[in-house]
Amino acid sequence: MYLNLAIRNVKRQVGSYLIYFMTVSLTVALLFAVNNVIYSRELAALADRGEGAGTALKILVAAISFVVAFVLSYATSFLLKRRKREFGTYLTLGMTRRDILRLFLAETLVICGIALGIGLLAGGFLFQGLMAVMMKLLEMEFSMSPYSLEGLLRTVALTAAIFLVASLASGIYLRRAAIYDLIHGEKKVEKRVKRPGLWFLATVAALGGMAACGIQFWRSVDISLRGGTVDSMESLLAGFILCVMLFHMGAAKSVVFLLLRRPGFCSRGANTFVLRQLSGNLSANSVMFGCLALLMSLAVAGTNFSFIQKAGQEEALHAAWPYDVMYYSVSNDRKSEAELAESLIREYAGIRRKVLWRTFETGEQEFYSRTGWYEERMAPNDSFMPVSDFNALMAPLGAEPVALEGQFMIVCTSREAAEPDWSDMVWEHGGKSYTFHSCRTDYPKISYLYFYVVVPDEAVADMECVEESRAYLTEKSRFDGIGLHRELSRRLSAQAGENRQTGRRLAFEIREYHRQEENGVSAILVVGALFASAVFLLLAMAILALKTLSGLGEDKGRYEILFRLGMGEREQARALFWQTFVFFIAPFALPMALSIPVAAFGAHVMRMEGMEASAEVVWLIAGIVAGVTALLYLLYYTASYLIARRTVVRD
Amino acid sequence: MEKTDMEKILEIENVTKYYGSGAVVTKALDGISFDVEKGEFTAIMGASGSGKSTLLNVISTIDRVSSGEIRVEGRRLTGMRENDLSAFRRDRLGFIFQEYNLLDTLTIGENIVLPLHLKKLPPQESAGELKRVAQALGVADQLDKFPRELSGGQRQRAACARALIANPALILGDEPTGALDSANAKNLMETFQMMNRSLGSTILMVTHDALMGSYADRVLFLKDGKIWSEIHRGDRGRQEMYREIWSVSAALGGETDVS
Repeated sequence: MYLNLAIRNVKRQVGSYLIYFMTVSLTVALLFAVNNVIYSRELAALADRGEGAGTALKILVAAISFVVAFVLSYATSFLLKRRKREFGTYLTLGMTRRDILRLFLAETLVICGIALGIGLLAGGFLFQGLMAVMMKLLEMEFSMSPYSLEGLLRTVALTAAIFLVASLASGIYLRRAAIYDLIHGEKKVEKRVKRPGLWFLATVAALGGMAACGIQFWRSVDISLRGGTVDSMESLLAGFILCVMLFHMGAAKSVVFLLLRRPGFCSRGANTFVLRQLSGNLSANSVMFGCLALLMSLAVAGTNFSFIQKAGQEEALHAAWPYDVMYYSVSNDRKSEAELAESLIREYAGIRRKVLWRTFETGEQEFYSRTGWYEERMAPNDSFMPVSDFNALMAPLGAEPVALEGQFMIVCTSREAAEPDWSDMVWEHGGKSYTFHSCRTDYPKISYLYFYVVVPDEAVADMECVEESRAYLTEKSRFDGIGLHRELSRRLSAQAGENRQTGRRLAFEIREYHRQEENGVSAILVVGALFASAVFLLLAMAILALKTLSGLGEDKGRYEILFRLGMGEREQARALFWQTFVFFIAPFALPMALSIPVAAFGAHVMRMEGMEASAEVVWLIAGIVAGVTALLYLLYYTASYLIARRTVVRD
Repeated sequence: MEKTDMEKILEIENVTKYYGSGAVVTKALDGISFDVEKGEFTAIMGASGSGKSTLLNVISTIDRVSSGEIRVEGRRLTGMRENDLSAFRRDRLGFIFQEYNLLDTLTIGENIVLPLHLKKLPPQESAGELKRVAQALGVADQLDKFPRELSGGQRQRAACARALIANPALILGDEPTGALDSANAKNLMETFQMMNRSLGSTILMVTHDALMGSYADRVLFLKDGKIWSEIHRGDRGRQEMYREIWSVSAALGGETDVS
C-alpha cells in the first residue's frame, strides 16, 4: 500500500523532487564512475608499480561518501520540511508518525531506486570519459574499459548507506516535530542584527585576514622553494578557514542590513522586499555558506593545481633531467657495463649524441667548509670538473662556453648551495692560486651533487678521477622509458655483482622513465581532483537549490501578495531572480575570486622553477576551470530558478 | 441628486463569469450590473457560493470576466493587457484582506510604503506619505515592528494604511474583519468609516457579517450570481441599517450571518 501511495506522491511531487533526484543521480553517477576507475585494469597496473593509486582513490571515495551521506540526509530533511503541512494533516487524521515515516521513506526509496538506475547508466558513460582522460594522461591508447562487478557493488552499497543515513535524519525530525509546527510552521521572528556596521568591519577584517594568510603562504612557499626552512603552515590554514567563516558571517549580517538603511535604494521597486527575503536567509545560513565556500575553494584550487602540475610536468622534467639518459660512474674496470648500457639505450631509443664528462676529488673539503652541511658534519668531499668537460656537457643544452683563466666557478644544483659567499676565496692548488669567477644556479642540473667546482683543465691533472659519466641525447623523444629502466636495472645489477668489491656508485637517470612514472601520479591527481571537485560542487549546488526550493511554500504566499498589490509578472520574476541569485552566489563568489590568486601563485611558482612557458598556461587553466565551474553552477541555478519561478510567480 | 458619469468610480455592466468547461460549468456571476460612486462605502453580502468573492476578484483584476464590462474611473478593465492590469492594480486599487496579507519578512513601515516603492516614488515623498497614513491609522508607533509582533487589529490597521497610501480610486475589502474578534472588528469598521468620511476613500467591501455591513452606505445582496436586493442607508442610523440587513438576509434565505 505504502509503495503505491509513494509512487503516486512522487508523480505528484515531481517538481519538489527534481533537484533531489538530480543530486542523487549525479552522485551515484560520480561514485559509479570512480569506483570503476578504482577497480580498472589500468589502475591496477599503476598500483603494481607501487603508486598506491588505488588506495588513495579508495580513501578519497570513502571520505567523500561520508560528506555526501551527510549532505543528502540534510537534503532529505529539507524535502520533509517542505511537505510538513501535508504530513501534519496526516497526523491529525490519525496516521501514526511511523506510518508517515514509512510513507516518506517509501517515496525516497522510489526516488533513490530510479536515481540509482539512471545514475549507474550515466556513470557508465562518465567512467569511459574518466578513463579516456586517464589514458590520455598516461599516454596510453584508449579503448572501451570493461565495467567491474566490485565497482557496481561498491556503488550500490554506498548508495544504500547514504539512503540509510538520510532516513535516520528524517526519522529523527519526524519523531521530534510537534503537529502544530508541522501544520503552521515554526514561528520564527526575524532576529534583528545589531550593529551591522561592526559586522561590516568584521567582513573587511576577514577579507584582510584572508589576504594576509595568502601573502604569508606565498612568502613561505617562496622561502621553501629557495631552499629555506619555514614554520608549519597549519596555523595559516586554520587562520584562513576562520577568516572564510567570519567573512561569510559578517557579509550576511551586514551588507543587506546596510543596504536596508539606504532609502534611495530601498524605494526602487521591490528592493526592500528582496533585501528582506535575503536578510533572514543569508543570516541564518551564514555558517553553512562559509562551509560551502571552503569546499568549493578546495575544489577550485585542487583542480587548478592538479592541471597546473600537469602543465608544468614537461618543463620540470627537462629542468631535473636535461639529458635523455645520464649514466654515471664509468671506470675503466667497468667499461663493459657501460657498453652494455649503451647498447640497451641504442636498442630502446637510439643515440643521437653522446657526451663524456668526469668528476675529480682532492679528498678535502675547502669549499664545503663554507656551507651549512660542513657544520652539520654532512659534507662530502669537494668535487671538481674540468672546464673543457663542462663546456662539452653544456653546449648541447644551449649554454655559452665558459673561459676560466686562474679562476674557479661554483655550479649549484640547489638554491641552498648558493647561499655561502665564496667571492673572497683564493683556492691554492698545484702551486697555483685560483680566484672566484662566479657562483651559478642557472645551469641545467646534470649532477646529484649539491654543487661542483669548475676549474681550468690543468687544475685536475693531479686529482683522482672519481667518476666518468656519459650523457645521451636519444633519437626518439618518446620511448619505453619504464622498459629501459627495468632492463638496465636487471642487467647492470647482475654485472655489478662481479665488481661489488670496488664499492663505486652505479647510477643512471632516464627522463622518459620519470615522465611515465609522473604520468601515473598526474592521472591520479587530475582524476581525483576532478572527482572531488565535481562532488563538492554538486553538493554545494544541491544544498543551495534545496534550501531555495524548501522556502517556496512561504514565498508563494508573499509573491501572491505582491501580485495583488500590482506587481507585474516581469517585476516578480526580476525580484525572484535577485532573491535566488544572490542566495546562490553568496558562497560561490569567494571560490571564484580565489581563482585569480591561485593562478597568480601557480604562475609565480612556475617562474621560480624556471618554467616560463608553463607559467603562461596557468592563467588559461584557471580561466577554463573557473568557466566550467561557473557553467555547471549556472545550469543548476537555472533549474532551481525555473522551478521557483513556476511555483511562485503569478501571471 | 442625479450623479454624472464622471463621478462614477466603478461601473459593472452585465458581468458574467463561468468556471469549468464542457459538461461541468458553474456560473459564478450571472449578468451583474451596478455602479459605485466616488466617496461611496458599499458592502456586498450574500451566502457562501453566492458569487461575492468572484465579483471582488474580477473587479480587482486578479480574475477575468467571461463576458460584460468593468470600468474603473472610466477605464475598461476587460481586454486590458496583463502588464497594464498590474500597473492599474498598483496605482488605482487598494486591498484589505481577511488574513491581513502583510509580508511577514517586512516591517510594518516597509509593508505600508511598499505600494509607493513599487510606483518608484522618490524616498522623501514616500516617507512623508508613510508618516501621514500611519498617523491617520494609529500605527505610527509600530512602523519598525514585524507583523508577527502585532495583534490582529493592529495588523489590519496596518493593512488599511497600506491600502490607503497610494491614494487609490477604490479600496477593496475581502472579509476584512473575518480574522478579528468583535472588539477589533468594530474598531476596524470605525476605521473604514473614518477612511470613507474623513479621507474621502471609496470602499467596496465583501462581508457576510450583517453587523459589519451596517457600517456601509449601501449594501448589495447577491444570490446565485445575481444581485438579489440592494439597500441604501439614506438618513438612517446604524441600528436601523443593521435591522434592515438582517431582515433582507432572512428573506434571502437566512444563510448570512446576522450575529
